[in-house]
Amino acid sequence: MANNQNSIKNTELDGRMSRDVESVIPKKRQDVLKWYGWGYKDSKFYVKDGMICFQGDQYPLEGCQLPYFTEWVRKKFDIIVNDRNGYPKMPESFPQPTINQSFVNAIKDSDISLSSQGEDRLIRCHGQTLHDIYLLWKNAYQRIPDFVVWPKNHEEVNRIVNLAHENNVVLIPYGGGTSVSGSITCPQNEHRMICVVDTSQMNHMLWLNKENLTVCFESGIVGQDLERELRKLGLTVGHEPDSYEFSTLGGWVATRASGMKKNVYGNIEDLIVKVKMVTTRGTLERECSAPRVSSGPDFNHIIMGSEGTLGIVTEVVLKVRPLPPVKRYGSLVFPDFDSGVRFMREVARRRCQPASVRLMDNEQFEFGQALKPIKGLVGNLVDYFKKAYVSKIKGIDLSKMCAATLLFEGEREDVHRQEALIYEIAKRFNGFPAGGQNGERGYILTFVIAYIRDFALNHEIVAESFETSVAWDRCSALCKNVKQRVRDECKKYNIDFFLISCRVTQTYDSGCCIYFYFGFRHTGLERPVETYEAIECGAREEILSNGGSISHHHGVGKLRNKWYKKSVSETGLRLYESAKLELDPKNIFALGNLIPEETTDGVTSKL
Amino acid sequence: MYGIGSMLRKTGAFFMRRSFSSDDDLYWDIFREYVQSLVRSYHIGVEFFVEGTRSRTFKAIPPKVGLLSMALEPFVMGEVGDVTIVPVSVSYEKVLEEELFVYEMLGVPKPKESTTGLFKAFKVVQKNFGKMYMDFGEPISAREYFSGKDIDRVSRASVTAHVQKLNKMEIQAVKDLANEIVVKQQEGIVITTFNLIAIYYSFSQYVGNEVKLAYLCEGVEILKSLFESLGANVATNGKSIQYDIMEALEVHHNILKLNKGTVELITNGIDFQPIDPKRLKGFPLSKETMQTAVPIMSLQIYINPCLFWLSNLSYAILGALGITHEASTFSREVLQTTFNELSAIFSSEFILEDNFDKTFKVLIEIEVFEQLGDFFIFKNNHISKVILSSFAPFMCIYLQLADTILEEFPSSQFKSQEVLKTTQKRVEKLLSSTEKSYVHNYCLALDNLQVAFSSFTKNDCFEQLENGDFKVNGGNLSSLRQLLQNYCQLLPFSFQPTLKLISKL
Repeated sequence: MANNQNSIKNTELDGRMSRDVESVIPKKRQDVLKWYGWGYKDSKFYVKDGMICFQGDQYPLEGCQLPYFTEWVRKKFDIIVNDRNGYPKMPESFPQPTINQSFVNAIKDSDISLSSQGEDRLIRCHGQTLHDIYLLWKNAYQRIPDFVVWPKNHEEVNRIVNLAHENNVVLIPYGGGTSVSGSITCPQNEHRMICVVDTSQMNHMLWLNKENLTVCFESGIVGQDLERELRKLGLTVGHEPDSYEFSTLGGWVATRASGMKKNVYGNIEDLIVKVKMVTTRGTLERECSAPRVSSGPDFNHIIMGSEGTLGIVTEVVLKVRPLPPVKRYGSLVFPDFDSGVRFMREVARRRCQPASVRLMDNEQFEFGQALKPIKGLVGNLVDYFKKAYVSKIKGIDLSKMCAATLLFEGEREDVHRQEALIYEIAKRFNGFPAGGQNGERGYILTFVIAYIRDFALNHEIVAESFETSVAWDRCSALCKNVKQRVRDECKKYNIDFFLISCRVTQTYDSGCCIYFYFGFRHTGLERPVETYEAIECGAREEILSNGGSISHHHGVGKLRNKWYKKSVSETGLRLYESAKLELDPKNIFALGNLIPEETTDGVTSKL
Repeated sequence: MYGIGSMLRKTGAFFMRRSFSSDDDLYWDIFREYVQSLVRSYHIGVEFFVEGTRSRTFKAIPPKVGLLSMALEPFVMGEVGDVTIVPVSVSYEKVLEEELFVYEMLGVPKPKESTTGLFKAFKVVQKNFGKMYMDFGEPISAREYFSGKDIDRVSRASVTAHVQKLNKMEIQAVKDLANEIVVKQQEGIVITTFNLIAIYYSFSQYVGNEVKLAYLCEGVEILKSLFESLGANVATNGKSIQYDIMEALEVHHNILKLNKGTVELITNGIDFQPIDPKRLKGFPLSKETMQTAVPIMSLQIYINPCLFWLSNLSYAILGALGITHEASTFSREVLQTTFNELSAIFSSEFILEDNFDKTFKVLIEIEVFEQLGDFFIFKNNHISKVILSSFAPFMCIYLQLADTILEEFPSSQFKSQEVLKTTQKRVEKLLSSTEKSYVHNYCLALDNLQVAFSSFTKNDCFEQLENGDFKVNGGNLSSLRQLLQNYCQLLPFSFQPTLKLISKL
């Protein structure tokens, strides 16, 4: 069998080189993480005495009262916030599991950690889309995984995949559970037994090569754990997607993730040297770890973006970099969004991007300002003078202005040179520096903003983000047209209170990544999530018609699979299908990502 | 040893702990890095003894693979293109520690090494130790040796070298290579005249012949041509055999002497000092036993290096003896089965390539076997008896050990050390008895008993319990004893006359 051959070829590693990593997320993840929403259990927005506050000692906003934000919510959504608690309770009964006895027996015999408890199954039946969370709150899942296994290493994954293949059991690889494409959402029409493969227990740093600046991690390592361990050694991978507190390396690979600091460190495809994926036909892995190889199509790219449909990623060799000695924040203010976009385009043209540069529109700028915690008199005075300076002296219309946040990393001289150049370019587009503090807050808020979704849901507001990438010449038009489309759609559904906003988060030689926030108050609407999805669907149609992509980094999943064929062409689709047929002939990785499910019977699915 | 360590270091030598079992990771990692740096970057080779320790029996011992695998890792991991291994054989006409080794084999511990001891030893070197030979074998290329074997350098090279270690198959391949090296070293060993004398003298004793000088010359000549036909380096000059014998006897005057044209074993030359029995590693043997055993064992250890060439022949001869005991002819296939059976029993004893085809061919050449149509007849001629006589003491050792265990520990647990002591005790008793038994003075040798013990373990005669003790496992040991006994009964000579002869002296 192919697998046996593979295990013979395996090179034996010196186990002493492997480091155990103690994860912030325990094996029983519900002890620390919310089962019904985003993030840590103890971190959330809440209302006290009519004012929105935030708690969560992981974050700088911990213990802050947010009067501006309270006011902003009132104005934007016509809502007086209250301390109602609509958060769901853990159900007492769970959908009946489908059990494939011979698979279960074999797993039990092979010393692999497992659970068939309802709670363990339920909390792994979803990702973090609005749809996922809404169903969870309504306890509306018909089908949840039947079984959870925690493999300890590559060998155990191999065994699980072989057993599942033999017994025709569906496997769902599960890392951090942060997917926002529906990719790990339990397929509701699957008749076979569904087993979740939780990779959290394979999170070792297997080895580090300081000469090559490469490191090998098991795929279950959580982003923040990975960075913390490397930082202790004076190193960094520098991959920081907004989910990096909770998402895992394996998930990054499977979705083709992108990090905030990709300008310095690269996206996941630039960071990967080698990757191992267990399929039903054996392990797929490029043999050589040389930096670049001309050897036919690069099969690393079959693994990246496979979204769990072809196999399970087990080990990844990544590039690491020395920690930068200097890290500085900055911000810029532009009179309008278009000037900002022209600035971004020029920066990309000159290829002088700092580690991160993000441009936000006026809506988001205001929103960011609203999240400022309460200040003393002096703070407010300073703010007053700043505002006066911007509007009176610089003559900028506060309702049109937009801002860019900047993050510089590197050697001191390099950072200085970069700063000078960036500010010089900004000047040419009527932008001017607005201080490091504003910039820093922008980045810090990134991780806090994710918690707003659950708070909003509790206040009859459905909100989510979606993203795309687009060529430079279509960037401004896309932003404008998509926002207009959303406004039109809202009108169609009689939605009065909503937020649509965008920002340019990444720049490339030929284009950029655009991130949209959209949320609306659904009071009185019968099917809020369906309405949201319909509007988002319209927005995506608009994106595609404006030259935007199906996704820049969230992936296709189930949410966007109807556009996959269009995205890769008929021929491309057939190529993917034949790869799927070769690597997973029984469709045990029946996640329904990339290609829409057409029949409900897994065995005779369209493959 | 004061001063000696630094002196040796200055010559480029390095020290190494003997035991790999220690859990001192830091030591072994540094050591490994040092050795591998030498392999990767040093312009001169590293010389070491693949057997890793002294062989007191003068027989090759199973190689240790620790250092060798360390040295080969840079090749396996793709850090060097090849590693060249040159098997070097060093043969001494007379070994410095000869007497010391014999005593150690009987259980007398070696004196502690010291610098003063070293200076005293310089005096010993003044004596005549004869010649020393060095043979440099054909270099073995690791790349060529491993090509086509289970070593996948390509996938190794895709991962950082220092985070990897050899897998089971690679370690097995290194073990095979180490064995191959030891085989090549044995091939390179020079067989000296005294080795031939030792074989022929012992044989004569077993068959009860007096050893006149002329008779010995004939024997040495027969053996010289036998070894040469086997491919061995023989030091004896065919044109001056008698001179060579005289010279050899001169060097080994502590073992054999020429008395009025007759060669005799020296049994009264031992200055036997009483030893504290607590320090003994074996059974406290009597002075009389020691006095007979020491010279006979001294003689045996000069036979031992020759067994590299003679044991395969002996297996075939023994096999043929067994088969033709009941039938007049035998087929090649049946003989091969018996050959393999014997070869398995003694596989821990001798490091060989069990080459049946070559063995068979040689035995036909020296007319021990004769072809008759599809079958063969066994001619129990002179040379076949001589060959067998060199090997027979080993059969006795295995038989005596099996006997001891089955008689003394039939159902109880035992440790290897106590079994060895008990065997020595029983052997001592048998040696002094006049009853016919298959016993030889060499059966007292602890080193050989230990190897026999391991061989029994390997052949599933024992099971090892959790506390490390052993227990007889089923009927394997009894069948092995029966087999050895049957072969011993067929031997065309007995060891008893030797003893009588010696007691007469």
